[in-house]
Amino acid sequence: MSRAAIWFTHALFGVCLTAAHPGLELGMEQLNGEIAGSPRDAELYLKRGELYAQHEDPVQAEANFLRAAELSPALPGLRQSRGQLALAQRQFSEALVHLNQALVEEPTNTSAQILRARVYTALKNIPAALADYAAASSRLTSVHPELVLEHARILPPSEALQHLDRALTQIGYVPALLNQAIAIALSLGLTDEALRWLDHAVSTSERPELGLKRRGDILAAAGRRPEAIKAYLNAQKAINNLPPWLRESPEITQLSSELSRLTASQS
Amino acid sequence: MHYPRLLQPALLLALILASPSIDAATTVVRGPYLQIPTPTSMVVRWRTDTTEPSVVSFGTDRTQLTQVSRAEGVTAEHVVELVGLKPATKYFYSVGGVAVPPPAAGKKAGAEDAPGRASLYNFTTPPPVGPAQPTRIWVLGDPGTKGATQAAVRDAYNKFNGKNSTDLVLLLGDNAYPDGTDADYQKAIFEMYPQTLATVPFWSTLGNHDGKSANSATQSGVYYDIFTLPTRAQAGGVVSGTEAYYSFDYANTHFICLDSHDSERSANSPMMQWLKSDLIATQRDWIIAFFHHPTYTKGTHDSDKDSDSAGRMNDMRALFLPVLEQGGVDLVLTGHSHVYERSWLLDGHYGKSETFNAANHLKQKVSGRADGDGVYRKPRARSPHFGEINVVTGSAGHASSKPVPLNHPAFFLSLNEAGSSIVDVNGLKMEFTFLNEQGVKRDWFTIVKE
Repeated sequence: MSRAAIWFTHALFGVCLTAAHPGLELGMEQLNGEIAGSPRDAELYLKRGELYAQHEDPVQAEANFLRAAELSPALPGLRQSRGQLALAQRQFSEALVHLNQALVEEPTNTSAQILRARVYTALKNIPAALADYAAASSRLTSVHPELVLEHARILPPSEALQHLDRALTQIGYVPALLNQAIAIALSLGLTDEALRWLDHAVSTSERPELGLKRRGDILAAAGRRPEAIKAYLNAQKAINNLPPWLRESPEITQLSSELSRLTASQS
Repeated sequence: MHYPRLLQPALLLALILASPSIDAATTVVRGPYLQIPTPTSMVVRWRTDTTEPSVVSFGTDRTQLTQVSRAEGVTAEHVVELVGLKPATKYFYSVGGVAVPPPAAGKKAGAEDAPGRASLYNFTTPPPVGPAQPTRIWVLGDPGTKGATQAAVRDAYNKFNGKNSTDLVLLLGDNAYPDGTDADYQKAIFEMYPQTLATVPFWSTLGNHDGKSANSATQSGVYYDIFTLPTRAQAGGVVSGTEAYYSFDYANTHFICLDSHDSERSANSPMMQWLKSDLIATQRDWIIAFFHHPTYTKGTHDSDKDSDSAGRMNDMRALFLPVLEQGGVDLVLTGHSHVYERSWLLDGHYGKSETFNAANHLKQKVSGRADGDGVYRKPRARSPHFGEINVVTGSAGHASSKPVPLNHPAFFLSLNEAGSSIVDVNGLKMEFTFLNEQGVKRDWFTIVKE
């Protein structure tokens, strides 16, 4: 879309859009007032663009970013915001241009590096994406599980397993990481690896019955019947150790019946 | 450190009079405030105007702060974890760059030796997890306007609470307007609730205004700098691996905090997988979930509009509420909409308001009031879909200045009034109160498990 068209759209729909979103309306009211007082303050246009972007209004967002760029081309944060917006719009090449520049301006900008990793992933430039994920993660004191999974998804299975194993050790037995690690291990036929992770999670759980049942299911699928039976019986024991008000709940009663059936089927 | 015996009372007094900091050259400019309480530990945080060591002196006798915990290094942002505490025990504490010297051996310090009020604080550790214990929770949704209304809501609660203890404070997000910056937090939280912060642990969820200065993916920004939240289930629940969402236990209640603003919300997201695991794992009698974006609202936001808040309300209602209900949640607390809206005892309503059907979605069509047509009753046995109350309590900073529809059929009561909410859990009874800024009890209900 041309800049003139963007500005026309901005002028035409601005009022309608702000009226539709109360959060946007409140913030916009304040920013409009500030911009009226300081019409050449690029940062205010950046803020207003970000507000529109948060409310998924890319046309308005881009219009404000363009105005900010006109006033101050090297405004800190502008390139990242434009890259993020382009990524959200699936305009990956444009996103890459902005994020490359953001990282030239601030090479240790972790947020921009994560965004660029996502762009590279979308562009199927996996080596570049891996390099960005690795660099960004190395600067974080705590890596969010979402990032670990994003990174793992673009690794070959065996490397993904190692990556997940390191993350499980570093940030703890997060269910999403654990589930992914178990799924990959099972897909590679590494039953004992999968059980190792599962056992750790079970050993620290207040309610181990479902984890033990899952252990039994994995062993049964691997044809290790005696071990499967043992796991199902342990799950039943865990149920017996629950307080009565929990043990007698419909879900647990149902689980108990299922365990009996599974035990019989493996015998 | 060894102090000459005769100097001790004078030295102690001098140190304390230099309050709020122990060191006369240093001033405490934020806090102290309490984080991640467990029956045996507490994190104490504060900020000073210059860097110095981080030392907390504490004890169960206000005149004998004989225990000391330190953090390594020298900093202006102090984070000290006290460990080895006794459950359900009142501790007195003081913060500073050096330890408060112990009283003379064999001599109990006199009142004049005791730390002055400005620098002596206290907290009570949570009771052991599991057994019931009367628990009072103060709930503040969207408080951070920094203005007279926020102060009035605070004062109304303090008057209502009187000399009773508050055990926990839940912040439902948008804690500091407009941008959740450090300066916003200073005014809206630290200068607004200083006494409460020093004595009662605050737990928080991320709101959209907090999100302007924070990033969940990188766990960075003001919100994540200010709050110390569990990532490894330090206070109960299942390991989340992130401060963006977490859970904790207090006595017989399990609390679940979700990030409705900045973490992935898809059906197979890490947050969803964690939630499912967490719900399965808990043995507590009560489950309270809290997050910023409401499941239902017709206040300053509209949960029927897909575009409102970029679909976050839809996601929380259509994707997360079914999982919470399957897990037996009892109470869902949210903010974002600057009103008070309280539902009937509901189950299974995941669509827009026009799909609401009382015959299908109301579990008990009563007010929930013991002095009305009866309290809500649920079985103690953890069972899916026995109903929960959804509360939007997003007016601790201000109510809407404009007329709002307040006509969502899921709600028993909707009010455009500023105020805060109070949850009292006592064994198998949960009592809820909404108190407006004038201190008037505007709504109340009770859930009993049997």
